[in-house]
Amino acid sequence: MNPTPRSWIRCRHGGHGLEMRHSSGVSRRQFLSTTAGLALGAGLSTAFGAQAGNPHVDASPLPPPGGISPFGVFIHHRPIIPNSVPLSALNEPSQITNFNGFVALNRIRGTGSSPDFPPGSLTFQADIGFMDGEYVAQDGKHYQATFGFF
Amino acid sequence: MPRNSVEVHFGSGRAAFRLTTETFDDHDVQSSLTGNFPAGFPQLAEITFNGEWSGILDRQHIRNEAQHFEGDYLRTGSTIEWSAENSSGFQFTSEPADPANVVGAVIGHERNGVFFT
Repeated sequence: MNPTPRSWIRCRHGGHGLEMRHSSGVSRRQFLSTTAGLALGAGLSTAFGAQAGNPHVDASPLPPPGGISPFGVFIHHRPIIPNSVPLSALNEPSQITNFNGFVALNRIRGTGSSPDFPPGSLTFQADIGFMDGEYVAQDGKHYQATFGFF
Repeated sequence: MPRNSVEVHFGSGRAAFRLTTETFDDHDVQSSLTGNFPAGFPQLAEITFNGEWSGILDRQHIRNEAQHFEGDYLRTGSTIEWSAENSSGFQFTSEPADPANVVGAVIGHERNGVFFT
């Protein structure tokens, strides 16, 4: 149906132009995509700079244990707790395990517009976040990388 | 992902995640998760978003033995602005960033898995 492997994404940042990069290999189902009405659900996780192109290593990160099952599909993701809940009840905000670094996660709701729909008729909910730091990959080696999530 | 897509200023409780990338419009979340797509989907799409975290509301050191993670965490405010267009020409542009729209947001400096001791 779609000839483009879902484990590939294109990226326009970082001075590398528009080019194909191999993803981390983390299943898209391990990432909870978002937005109502329009779901742009590809995992953005990319093992950027981690020996890309070398077939003898697997720099893919490993998912954290546990998660949730929206629509009956298990994913290694725990949504952020609402700001009304004590911070001490925080669930694992990282989307990868064997990780040591900075993590950010949020959930935002809002509205938007499209030329094809009446003003104010489109709503969304978005969870975005990132992990930036050191991780131990599936090959057991240590890497430094930045992973995104939306 | 390019390192310069993110910024973290942990001491001041600020972070940002900005990216433009090509991805897939799967039509809806259920389709994305189950792989059962409506006719005409998935489609290639380009998305641009700018997510920001700022304004420290709480801070705690958390050690979670059950989930095997530990670190220093900041609860913050957060906003997002994003837009997308798929290969059929459908366009979406979110409303301007509104701090009142946040449900939850956190920044952390953590370790988990083999780094959790």
